[in-house]
Amino acid sequence: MNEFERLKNTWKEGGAKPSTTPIEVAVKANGYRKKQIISAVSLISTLAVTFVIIVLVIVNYDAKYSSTYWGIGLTLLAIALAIISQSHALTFLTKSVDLLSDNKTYLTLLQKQQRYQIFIHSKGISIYFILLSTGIGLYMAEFAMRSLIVGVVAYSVVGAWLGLNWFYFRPRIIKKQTDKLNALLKEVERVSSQME
Amino acid sequence: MDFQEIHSRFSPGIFRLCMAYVNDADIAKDLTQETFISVWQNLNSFRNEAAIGTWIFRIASNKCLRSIEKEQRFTRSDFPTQIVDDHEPEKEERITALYKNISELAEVERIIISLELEDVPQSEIATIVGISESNVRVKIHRIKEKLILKMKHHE
Repeated sequence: MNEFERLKNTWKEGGAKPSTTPIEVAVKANGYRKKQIISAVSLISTLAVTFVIIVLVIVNYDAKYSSTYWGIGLTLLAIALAIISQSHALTFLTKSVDLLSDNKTYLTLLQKQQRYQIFIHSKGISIYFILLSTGIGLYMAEFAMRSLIVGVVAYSVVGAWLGLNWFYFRPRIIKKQTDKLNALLKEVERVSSQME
Repeated sequence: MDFQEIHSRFSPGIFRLCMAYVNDADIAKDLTQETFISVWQNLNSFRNEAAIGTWIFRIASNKCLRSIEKEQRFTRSDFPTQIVDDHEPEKEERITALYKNISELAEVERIIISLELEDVPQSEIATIVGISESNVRVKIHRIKEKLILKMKHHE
């Protein structure tokens, strides 16, 4: 018997009995799917409801300035982009068909998914924030212009809040998310290179 | 073949593959369970285009590769417990050493050698990993040498 055959015998001696029964697996599988569907539906429907409420506001409110419509339009665009990106991201999460690919293809798909997440967590957040801030700024104009004092106070408060988010929270959120994702992407790229 | 039959036939082999990949009995059990959850969810899409074993090993090896994301949360233990059903210290030590030495190889090497040890034909290993059969042959030759050397060092 050669040395590798001996290793093979040792290998076959290993392997603990499965800790779960097939029924437990089936129950868990159905539970996971349900959880994924509930999470996907609740997130996207919250955004969709917000979108519809804003549309109802614009239909029922007769704005005097075109800036109000531009503001609402940009806000709707930001929400629509968020719905699209969330749906896309959730498709990645809920889809298990990729697991049926060979390892090389699977790692390529994993890299594609991680690059998409990095884009969403860096540029995506910034684009969403710019659209939303500009939208709110324009939407406020009509109401702020009714009184100079109200206008100055309203823009100062909202401006300070947006500034805090843009200069303080946004870079930190982006760094936290992308550092982790970049590290994972590097790991996946390293493993992929072993295929050559 | 129904799910129960698939589970009882393939779960020891899937556990061994996962165990050699992560060298941690608890994580390997989780990975085995996750594999069978995916098998259950995708059983309808299995169209006999490959042997069922190849199909399941493909899912299991992808689950192992995906564990890169989890590795940061787990601390790998050098001496896993309860990996054999009967308690024979010598046998357990040999198996522990084998898992440990395989888990120290590069990720793709771990999968290839585990499949070879499971007696999966090299043509099927090629379709699981996604590289050519000749590449699999070359890699297996190199990994075998590396592993035998590591085991000798252990002894």
